[in-house]
Amino acid sequence: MDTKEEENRVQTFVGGKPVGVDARAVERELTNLWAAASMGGDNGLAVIRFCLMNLIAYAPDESKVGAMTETVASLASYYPSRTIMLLNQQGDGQDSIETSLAAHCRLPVGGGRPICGEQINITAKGPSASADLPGTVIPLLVSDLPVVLWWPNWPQGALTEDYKIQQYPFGSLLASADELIVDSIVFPRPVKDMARLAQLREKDNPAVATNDLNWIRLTSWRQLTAQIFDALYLRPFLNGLTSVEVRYKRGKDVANPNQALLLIGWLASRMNWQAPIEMETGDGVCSMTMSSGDDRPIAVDILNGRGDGVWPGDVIDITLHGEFDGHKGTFTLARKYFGEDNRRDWEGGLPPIAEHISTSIEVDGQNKIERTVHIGARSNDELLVEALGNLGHDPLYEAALRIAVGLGNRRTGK
Amino acid sequence: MTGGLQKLNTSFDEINDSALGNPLWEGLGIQRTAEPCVMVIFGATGDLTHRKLIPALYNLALDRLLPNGFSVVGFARRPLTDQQFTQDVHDTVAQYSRRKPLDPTVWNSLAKGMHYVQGDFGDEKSYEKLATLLGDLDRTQGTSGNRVFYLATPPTAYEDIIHNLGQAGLARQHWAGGGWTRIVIEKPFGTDLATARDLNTKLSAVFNEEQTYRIDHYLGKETVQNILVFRFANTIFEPIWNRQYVDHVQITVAENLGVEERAGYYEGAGTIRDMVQNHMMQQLALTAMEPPVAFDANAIRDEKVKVLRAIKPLDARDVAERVVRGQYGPGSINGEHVVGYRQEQKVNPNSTTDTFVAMKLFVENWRWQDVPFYLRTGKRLPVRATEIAIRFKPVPLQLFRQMGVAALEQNILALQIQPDEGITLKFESKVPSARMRLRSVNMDFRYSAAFGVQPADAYERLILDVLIGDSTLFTRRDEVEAAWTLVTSILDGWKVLPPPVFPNYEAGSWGPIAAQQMMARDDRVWRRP
Repeated sequence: MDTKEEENRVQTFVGGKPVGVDARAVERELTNLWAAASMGGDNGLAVIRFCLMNLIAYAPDESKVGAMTETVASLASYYPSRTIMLLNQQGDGQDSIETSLAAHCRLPVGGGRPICGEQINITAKGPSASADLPGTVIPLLVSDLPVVLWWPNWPQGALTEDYKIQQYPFGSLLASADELIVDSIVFPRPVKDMARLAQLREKDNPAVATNDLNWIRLTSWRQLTAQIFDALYLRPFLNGLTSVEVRYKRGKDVANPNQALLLIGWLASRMNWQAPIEMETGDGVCSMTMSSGDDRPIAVDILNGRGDGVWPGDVIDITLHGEFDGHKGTFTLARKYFGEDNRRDWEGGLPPIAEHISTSIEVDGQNKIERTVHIGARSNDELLVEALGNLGHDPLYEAALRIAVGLGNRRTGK
Repeated sequence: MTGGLQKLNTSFDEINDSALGNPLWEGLGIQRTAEPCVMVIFGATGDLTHRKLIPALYNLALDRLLPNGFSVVGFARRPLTDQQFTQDVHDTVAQYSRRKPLDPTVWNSLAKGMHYVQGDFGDEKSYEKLATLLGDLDRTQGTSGNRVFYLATPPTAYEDIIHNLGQAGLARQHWAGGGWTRIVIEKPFGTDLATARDLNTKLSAVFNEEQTYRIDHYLGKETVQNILVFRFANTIFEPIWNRQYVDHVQITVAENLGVEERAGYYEGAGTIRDMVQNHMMQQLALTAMEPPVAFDANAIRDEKVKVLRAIKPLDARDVAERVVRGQYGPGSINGEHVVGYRQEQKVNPNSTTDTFVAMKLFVENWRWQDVPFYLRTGKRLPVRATEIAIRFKPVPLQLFRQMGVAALEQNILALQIQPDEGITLKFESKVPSARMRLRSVNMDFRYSAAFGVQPADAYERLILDVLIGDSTLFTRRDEVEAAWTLVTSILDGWKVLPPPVFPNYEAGSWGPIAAQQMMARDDRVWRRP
């Protein structure tokens, strides 16, 4: 058995030899792995095996396996699980399926015996081996625990134009899952693919809950927007909103407005705003007029632009204007980039991220109330942890998605 | 200052919260936050403020759980400027925050809302200064009369502060524009039933019960709150949670520390006031209570107070038979020699203060009649451990005796509150072999294993609850008085009984031999947590 130190206090135990593909052989080898781990790793402490869920992780290609394994290892600190990591290598050779095992362990907060989750790596090689993946995976699922299908890249080609699932293994695995987690910030055709996701959720697999890491990126924005209107004297401005402007970062090649669309979708669903009565669209931007429940017009603008320390597709700022009883209120939320001064432990040469949001409240142009809060860099690991902590249907997301897709369809003239 | 917010506050007098709920919070699935408000801390230069309150506020800010316009006003005798106060607390937050290093951006944003009022707790003029500042903050920060007064002072100052807040007109429950006022009081809440009642009377002359938050930081611990979830969110435990199946309950709060810097307070209080009247009574109540009709503050507290009232006060004879008190002498903890209580600094060399108490209580109701609840708490015990252990009755028929199994262990369900929070179920299992051999095994659930997040400090949770106005985890007047009724009966018993010879247990041991004997008389033993 090899052992290697992962980041922080996570230690990984790796099974020494490839295992047969049948479930009993895998379980037998897992037992051996755990027996070895329970003899103590580098720190000499026996480990505790723990399993909160099944996580099926589909790696789009070999180059992503390392990063995804690191994410799974970091999950051991939050949700030790049985992870089944799938890789479909295709190629021209003979069809085959290979399996190997690993356990990710970490010392619990406050000390004690290491807590471990397990990882089963399954690689399909050959032109049609992927068809056998579902039959290999399903017997390995731990019973009575939720099954989460984490598909970091959108399954390109997995859906036909009429939204039917045609390609193995996505459809079969989805049928065995309780939850699908995707990330609409990497959708190659952002608006169209999000529409397909909505169709998938509503028509083909309504029982499977869907979550989107891009929606989770909005948690802080939604929280901070809600907080503004906690002040009783500002509450009426919420019902008197006259305009909303959301700006997101434009990518070099693609403008992905999905996050901005979801934010507008959330706001519109909460405030009961109706579909746009007017709409003008451009390259990744759109201006529209929605109507409130009492038929007031609300100007909604989705814009894109530059933003330091912000990833393409991420929201940069939100500005809301509202009126009440002759008073005018302006409420802004904007990412703040403090550059090198605020940098901490950046990994792998990644650029510093805008980790803060400043909020500002101004009524009649006087007495500006400002504050700055921390939202963190929000790595994919953290987003996934948050998604796994809230399994099940999220009516708020589903409502936001429905509206976002409606806006997106109109935007693309569908 | 005559800005827009002042004009707005005037025009919004008729608006109330329930009529205009914030729809953006609906279904958000994250912790709700409070309306903009000011927290006034009396005793702002003290240890509690520096070690607990300001670090808790900083961590709440870091989690985005403080509202826009949130302000802190420190109130104390020492002459400090706003800037000096902010700098002082910055240094201690940097030291005591559970998350380090400090995020300078978040800190600066929080610090902008920090102010200081120099004043004497008994000086009316100081409260006028405070009122003026609070009025300014209402106008400039939009705090709209929302105020929390936190009494982080010695109890001797409570009366003056409460009285003067009332005199200065700062105690109103509701303000024009919808503002609210709340007061937080730290333990000890009285020293016996009479003083607790007296303090309650003075408090209620100025603040309503709904405005009053008596804090017991034990209730802010995740695992204490989990007692309710464990009992009332699972089907399998509640049917056996009664006299039919439970043999007895043991509640242990063991500390391996001595009195440290608290000797001055501890000499007059002892363990029974410091731990039993509040923390242990709360744990007992949560363990023994009936299911509340709703998960809200008053429904839960109604059930807790019924438990406390179902424990009959003890007379002197009961006290002699069912209560053991102790005081530690010299000994060793973790291989280090430690002095006895009477040798601690600021302790009377002839002190008769209790540092250990064990007792047997009965909750006299249909569910628990004749089931003993054994409580044990002390300082300088071998380990730091808090747990509630439910020992179940033996099986009615020992089937395995004829196969050579002499005795079966009883099932034990242990809820560990600290330090290693979790739940352990002990049950019998067959040892793999051709023979029938049984052995007890533990099935462990560890919080740290299932949820690898560092739980928030109890003060963070409790301060947030005060800001939101949720008093579920705070002690109501009738609870405090019911707990003091029992504890005062024990104190009265001690007055008429001959005192034990102190010290009567070695530091690093599990307490006086009399505590073991009390259990032995019932043919039981204390658990070793």
